[in-house]
Amino acid sequence: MAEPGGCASSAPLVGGDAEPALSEFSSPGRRASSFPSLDVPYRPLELPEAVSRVPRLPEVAEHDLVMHYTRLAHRNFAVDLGAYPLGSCTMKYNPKVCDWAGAHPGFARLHPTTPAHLVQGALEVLLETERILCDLTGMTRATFQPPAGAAGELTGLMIMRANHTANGDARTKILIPDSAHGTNPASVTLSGYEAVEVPSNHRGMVDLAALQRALDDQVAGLMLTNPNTLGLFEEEIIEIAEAVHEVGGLLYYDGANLNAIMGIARPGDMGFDIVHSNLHKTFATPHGGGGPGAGPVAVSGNLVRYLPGPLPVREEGGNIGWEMPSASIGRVHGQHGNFLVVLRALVYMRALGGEGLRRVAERAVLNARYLEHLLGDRYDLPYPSICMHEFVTSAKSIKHDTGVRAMDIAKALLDRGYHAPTVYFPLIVDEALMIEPTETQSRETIEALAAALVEIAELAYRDAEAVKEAPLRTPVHRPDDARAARNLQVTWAGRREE
Amino acid sequence: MELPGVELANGAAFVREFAITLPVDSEGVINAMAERGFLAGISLTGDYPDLPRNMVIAVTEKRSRAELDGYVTALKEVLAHG
Repeated sequence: MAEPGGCASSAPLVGGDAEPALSEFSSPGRRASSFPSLDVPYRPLELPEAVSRVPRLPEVAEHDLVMHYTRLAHRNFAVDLGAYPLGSCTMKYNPKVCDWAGAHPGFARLHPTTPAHLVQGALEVLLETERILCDLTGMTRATFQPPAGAAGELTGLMIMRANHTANGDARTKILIPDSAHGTNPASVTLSGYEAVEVPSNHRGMVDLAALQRALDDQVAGLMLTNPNTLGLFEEEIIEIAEAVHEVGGLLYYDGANLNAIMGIARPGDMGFDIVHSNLHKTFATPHGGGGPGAGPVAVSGNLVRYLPGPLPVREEGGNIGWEMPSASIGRVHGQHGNFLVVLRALVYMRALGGEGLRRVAERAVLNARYLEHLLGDRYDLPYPSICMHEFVTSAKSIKHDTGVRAMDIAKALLDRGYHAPTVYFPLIVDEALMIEPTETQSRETIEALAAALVEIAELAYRDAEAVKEAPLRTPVHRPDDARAARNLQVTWAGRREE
Repeated sequence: MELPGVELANGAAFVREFAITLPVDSEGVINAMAERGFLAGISLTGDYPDLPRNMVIAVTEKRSRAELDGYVTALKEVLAHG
């Protein structure tokens, strides 16, 4: 048994022993918390023996617990530790004022079933965030129930179906560009539609002619990110929207890349009918560890009636109550979604203001373009159009010349103190490296990141093995991803003897 | 302290929370209790429209005996004043 306090290195980021499991610190009778003393009459639980058991939990002191999780936390790369250019994920710095607001007991300790007249402040938060979000996206009303982007997609597709069904129009297909996020076809399938892929043209944008060929009266709608997954603005979006509307389809905006256009262009003005936003990405909630997030869905005028409910509404006299939209698709989440993520978004929006949100988008784009420029011709650029907030480069030539792959470059970047970019995505680019620096990295950091990427590319030609061996400085090196996925073990069965 | 007209909703063993049946609609009781400083429980009306007089109560380990007694006194007042 390990001593309490652990045998992990005191500088875990540069190696050291594996962190023991919490159960290895366990000592009988040790406790991390104490209950208040019992001041009501004691009555033993009267449960059948078959359903009562004493769980075997680790018995540790609070300090053991804190050290254990803090050491584990220090083995994670994080936005608060360094640059995190993970393309399409918008890993921006999350201002600490949002943590303060999210932890405020007046909000954090609310119970979601509290009667509306006792939580007017929280309802005001929902209405105000909705107002700003609708202003930014050009929509009419929004639901905050979906807890993530993909949940927003499914909600949006259910709203599409409700709309077509109400028109007596049972459609079967949703169109998706071949560069789309993997969640798009998954959401389409889950919602009972057939996903039909639309190819990109040589500039990396939706091929308008191919789109027109795919459009017919069975198309329920088109799902699109703009800028798209290659980081390129869909310049023909007006023509795309007109073509989809022409056959009675609806346009769904995947808000994955809203950070690029926030305060500059509105999906509603481009012709989109349904918009989801990832509050956790664009509006500053830590994400990447599985949430909590918020993927609110906003819709234009005549679709409001189908939104999940209840929605907060301002009543006569000024109070805010709850109301179910007239043809609501029902609930898509328990209670009102992840309220504290919505609150964080509001604090971020109000702290920056309209001008500030616009500057976020401007700087996100400027940073991406500067980084792309600094890389020069060291990496391939499969689509040379000028990028928005992210760009997709490729290690295809490096792989051809040296055998070093995009994955090796990503691992080598870890050794140099940066998180890896997204690799092998989008699927239409070989050896893809998808890079999104966000607006919150300084010029100096972007220049150092570029220098690291250039240095790795040069090292590949000089000493390919050195790149393929990376990472050597991280707590773990190259875990066997495939084995971990195929032979999943999520319970601790004791430390294996060497 | 007994509360006239208030009963456990069922007699089975309970663990962390329990449902009671009130002599009047639970939503009115919850609002009146809120005025006395207690979020008294969850009305079942929303999920079960045919159970308008039922309410679920979870006191947790954090409430002291004084608080529990205060709750019962407040509920007694609320029920007495209709």
